[in-house]
Amino acid sequence: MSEYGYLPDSANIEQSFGNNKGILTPKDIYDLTRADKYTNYGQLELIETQTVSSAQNVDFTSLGNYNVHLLTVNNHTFPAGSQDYGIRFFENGVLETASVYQYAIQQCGIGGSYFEAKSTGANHIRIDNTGSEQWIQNWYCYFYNLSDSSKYSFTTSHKVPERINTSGNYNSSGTYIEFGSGVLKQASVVDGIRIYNSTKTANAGTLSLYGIRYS
Amino acid sequence: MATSLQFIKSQSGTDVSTLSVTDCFNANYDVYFVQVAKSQTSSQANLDIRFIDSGGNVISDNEYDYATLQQNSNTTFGERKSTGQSKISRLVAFGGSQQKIGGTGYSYVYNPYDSSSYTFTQGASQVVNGTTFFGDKQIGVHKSAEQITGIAIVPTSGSTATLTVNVYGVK
Repeated sequence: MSEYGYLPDSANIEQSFGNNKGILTPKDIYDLTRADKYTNYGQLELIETQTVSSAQNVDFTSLGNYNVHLLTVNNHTFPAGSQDYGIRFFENGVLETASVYQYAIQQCGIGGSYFEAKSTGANHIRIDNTGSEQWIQNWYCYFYNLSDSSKYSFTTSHKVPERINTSGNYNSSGTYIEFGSGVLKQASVVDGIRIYNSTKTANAGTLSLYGIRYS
Repeated sequence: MATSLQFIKSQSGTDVSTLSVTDCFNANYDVYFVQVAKSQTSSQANLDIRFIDSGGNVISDNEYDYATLQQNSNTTFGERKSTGQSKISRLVAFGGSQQKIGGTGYSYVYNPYDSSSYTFTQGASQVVNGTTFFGDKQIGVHKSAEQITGIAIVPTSGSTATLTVNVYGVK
């Protein structure tokens, strides 16, 4: 019998994603899934989880073969001080730091004030910034077209942070839920994502990058 | 945000005036993730949403409400909202005619198969229109309690679209 499924050895069947043959047992499916040979479209596939204890930036440089990615960021914690926080991309291994990003973000203040944050020439896609306070950042972001050399690379994100003032207390009036989108407005292959901080080193956080299969 | 996505169906079209994704909603899920990637339109146009009823008919009655926050990278944000329309505006806003743009968007669809509930949507899209970036956040509703089995993506009148739509169930 073949390694998987009720098929004769003489058939010399090779199982692969998108091309499974025969009647598969539960054990076959388990083994094929572990071998990445079982056809199962669309699921979120974990690419990498990084746990931060001391890092200014977090880089994901193995993006896999996906058109859509999802990043989740939990309790990404930065000390007090002036800092910008956002997303930069690597193109063919080179970090893009020029002012070629655009973004548009709606800030919804816990204290009641709403603001628009936008730019047509930024050196990163903004997630947040502060002049003096401490952050605990929680957010998710979808990425589109990163590996497509003929398309711009887009993001859309939603953030629920916690801002701590210089007295160590939760600053509700300075905390903004933010949702918005951004683009690296040049058609290129993006092969890496940097979660960027301009000045401060995070002391905690868990960041997970997923690919959406068959996206 | 999705927790686990299960692929249901993919539908592609080239220069179509409507792309219908039939029989993609069923009793197995309450929430669906509908994704449009790499869309291209024949002229500057939006990609709007209509639903398909259990008889396979695209619903174009004035039963849709929507509200959109248009987030522009270069100017003040704008609101677009309307009631009693024949479609939900802008799963992808300003789908561009330039190949490199590759406008993208998603919409979560809630309760489509439940004949006792309205069908709701919420989503986001991102495009570059000329030199300027636009990000849209949308909510919408099909305000008729009936069973919905599919979704149709409709370019603004006068335009056609080349696109792929993927539908996932949210487990």
